[in-house]
Amino acid sequence: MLSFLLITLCALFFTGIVNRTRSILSGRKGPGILQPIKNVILLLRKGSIFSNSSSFIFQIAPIAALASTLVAILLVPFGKYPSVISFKGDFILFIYLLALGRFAIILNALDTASSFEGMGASREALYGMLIEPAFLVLLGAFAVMTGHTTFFDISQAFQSGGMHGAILGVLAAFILFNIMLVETSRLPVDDPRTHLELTMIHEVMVLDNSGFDFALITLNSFLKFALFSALIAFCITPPDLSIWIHLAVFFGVELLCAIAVGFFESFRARNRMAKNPSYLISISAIGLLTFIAAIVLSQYGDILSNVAQ
Amino acid sequence: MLFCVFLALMLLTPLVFFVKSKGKYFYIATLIFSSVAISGYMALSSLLGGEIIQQRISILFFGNSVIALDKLSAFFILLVDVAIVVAIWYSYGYLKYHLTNKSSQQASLHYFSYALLYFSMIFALVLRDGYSFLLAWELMTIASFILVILDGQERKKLKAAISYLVQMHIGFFMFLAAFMLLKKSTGEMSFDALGSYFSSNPNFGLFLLFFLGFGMKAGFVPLHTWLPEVHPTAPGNVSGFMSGAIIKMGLYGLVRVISHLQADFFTISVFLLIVSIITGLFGICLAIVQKDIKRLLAYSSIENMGIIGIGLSLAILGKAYGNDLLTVYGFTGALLHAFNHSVFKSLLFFSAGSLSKATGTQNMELMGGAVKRMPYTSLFFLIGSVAICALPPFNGFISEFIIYSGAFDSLSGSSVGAVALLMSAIVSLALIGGLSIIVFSKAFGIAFLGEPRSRKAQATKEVGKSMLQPLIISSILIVAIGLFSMVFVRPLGDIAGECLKINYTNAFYETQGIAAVLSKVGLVCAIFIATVVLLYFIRKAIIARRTVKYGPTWGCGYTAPDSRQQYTSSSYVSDFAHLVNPVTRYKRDMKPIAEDEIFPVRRTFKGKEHDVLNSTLINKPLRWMNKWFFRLAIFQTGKIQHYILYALLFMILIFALSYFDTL
Repeated sequence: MLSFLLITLCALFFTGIVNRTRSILSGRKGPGILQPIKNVILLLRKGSIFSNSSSFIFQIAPIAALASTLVAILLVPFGKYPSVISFKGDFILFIYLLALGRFAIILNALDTASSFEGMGASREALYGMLIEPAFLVLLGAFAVMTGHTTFFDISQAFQSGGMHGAILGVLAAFILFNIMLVETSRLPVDDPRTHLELTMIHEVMVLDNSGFDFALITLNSFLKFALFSALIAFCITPPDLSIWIHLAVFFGVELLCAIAVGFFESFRARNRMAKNPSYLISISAIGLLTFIAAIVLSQYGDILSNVAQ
Repeated sequence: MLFCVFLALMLLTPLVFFVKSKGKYFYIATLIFSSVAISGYMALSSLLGGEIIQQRISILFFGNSVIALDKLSAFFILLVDVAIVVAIWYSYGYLKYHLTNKSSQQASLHYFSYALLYFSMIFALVLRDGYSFLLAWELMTIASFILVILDGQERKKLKAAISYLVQMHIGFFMFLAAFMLLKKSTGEMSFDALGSYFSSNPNFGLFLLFFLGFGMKAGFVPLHTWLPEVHPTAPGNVSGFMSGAIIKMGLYGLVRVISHLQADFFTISVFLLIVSIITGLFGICLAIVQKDIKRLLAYSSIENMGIIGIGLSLAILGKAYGNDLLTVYGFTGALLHAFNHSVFKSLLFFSAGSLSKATGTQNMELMGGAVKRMPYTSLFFLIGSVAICALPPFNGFISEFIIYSGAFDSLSGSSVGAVALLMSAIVSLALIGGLSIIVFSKAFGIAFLGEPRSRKAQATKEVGKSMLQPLIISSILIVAIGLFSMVFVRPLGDIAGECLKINYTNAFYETQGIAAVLSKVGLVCAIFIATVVLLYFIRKAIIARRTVKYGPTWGCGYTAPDSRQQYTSSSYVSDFAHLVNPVTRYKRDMKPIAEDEIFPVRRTFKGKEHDVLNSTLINKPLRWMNKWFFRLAIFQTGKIQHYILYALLFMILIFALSYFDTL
């Protein structure tokens, strides 16, 4: 439960920090850190306009998407505190819950009969498909390395894995950071600030959502940010820390991730749409490399460290 | 006793030809439903009670034959029973309109073949003796062929059905060869003799023969080519049953053979894994580029067969390494997925059948907007879509989860080779999962959502109750298996124990925690549903207090949107079609707009995809054979003297050969 509270807490500030970093780097003062969440509150108080073409799918999809992320957060542990529900293979359910959220938003887009939203849906479905193997391969690497298949057990065994764990942790953090950028539709795959519908992915899918529903969709992407940063923290937190240091590391990683996203977005251009598939496949390829590294380390790790000595 | 009643019911079916027109359906439905009750009861008592029911019967000139109902047969009987109940119930509403321009004999023949199909399937599942099994198998093929050609006036449909018949018989010859080998080696021609054959001979060869036969029915690539032709051709009330149950018969045979394997586990497992991965990925890639909704579903059936195959091959891999956990997980996952697929694929086929009946086309580019005109049919298709994409909280997720868990659990501590195999299974499952999201977001999004793309689609109305009620059964099963999977998985574990002879005791079930894990998965699914419901009511309460307006969809300032501007099924997948062009050979026929063309003229667009394997494995050799057989036609002179001469030459040849034989 602790992780659930911490992740939702971080979600409130994450996008604010990203935006603030970006404005400072471009020499502006920028809005306050709480501005995104204030926008959400504003949206919650607004009325809604629904498209005449839309049906009940349009009313339910944002809820389903948010619910899938919320339930996925329930599966993430924090340090020595296991997640609310933990079982063998819980990360498989985690990945498929996120996929369910994506499916819901795709249908939400196609329900409006808009050609723009159809375009966004088509891209989202394709990119989601290409990024999914990366995650599973990464978790396979953890399973090979630690011999466990729950988030909690992996984190316990992994964080005390010594040098090998650290190597794998850094690689994993890198992949997770990239997956986060794709899942939350940020640069270099998608640019939330673009004003041209033809170059959007996520934003164009929710063009017709307004008021309460749009607030839910915005909250959903905040939560995903915090969720993936929590996973990164989970990969690189050293073992046997007291709860306070653990908390400090957690918040530090969340902050760093937010700043990194802002930094990244200030200095990098969006990929050409046609380049995206190869970018995403390369992430999966790095995942596969991590996996191979994990096999080598787990099977021949002892020999390697002997040679090094 | 029950068995005699069952036989009597079967023998009563031909009387349908003498029943008055209105009563035909009810006559057949009564017969089938009561047979379902009997066979279902017997199967359940065998599956849960554990007794193997054996009976000797003699069939005409096929001599004595053994009927044995073990757990594996019982499972598949239940699968067929569920599928046939839904299919027959759905047939009532569907055929009410479909049979109006058919003669009474055609109607009788259709009903009779449905019953014959059902009974022959049940018998194929319980007969152990080679000859009688092949008889039942053959009847099954012929009955399904007659069902498919209900609309056989159209040349194209007849051609597809005949290609089905031909390919099934190629499979039949594989069986014949396999059983001959068996007979030659053991002197017996039954499945029960497989054990003694496998213990004294190499296993892979005979397995391969059986695989070619059963794989033909199951639709493993490259033996799948009949599937995407026949499923769209079959009438709406048949295609769901074909995909739901008939292709599972191939799976049954495969599992039956696998259960007798004694050696060569590693080779067979690697072979099956490679074939299954290709099947899964190939099927789903081709499903993506389809425009015909039933063809799309047919290719998706091929893909699901791949998933089931992956599960099975992991089970065999477990046997090869003595890893019981992997065996149980892989086997249970495969069987559960077979059952799940049968449930949600018939749901999808039947709701797609209702839609194409209402719109008069199977082309998704001409559908759309059904969600407001046919809300219940759409809801059922949505449930099926979520389930088939293996998304929680429905049943498709559970079976894939079990396969995934087996693979992940066995990753650590395995040798590098095994890890590579497990990982390729995991990665391909992940890819297939992601790709099926594209397929079914397209199928549901393009065919059901948005605005109608044709005038016919605009005028659709919800189908009658009798075409919706049977789909409720499937939906309830989908949700129930999603939430309470631990109840359903237990008997499957027993089948794994019985078939693959591993020590799968209750203790294993409890301590290794399959039940505990699945009940937690069910809990998370329930939490998810509860969250959705809760958020829905919060949303409802809040929105009620806000101003709600309705307006046109945002068109970027363009105020006269047309339904033809929507994304179509081809444009939705065009990015992907580019990526996998070598497999799908997607070709587009259009003239691009030239730069100096200020006022573009009217133009047409044609997109066409090809099944590479179909063209290289079936069409090319056929053309080649046609060419060569045509050359042989010089012998066909039409003169009787020549034919007598051929006979004389032939006799001389036989004499000569028998002479040399005696030397």
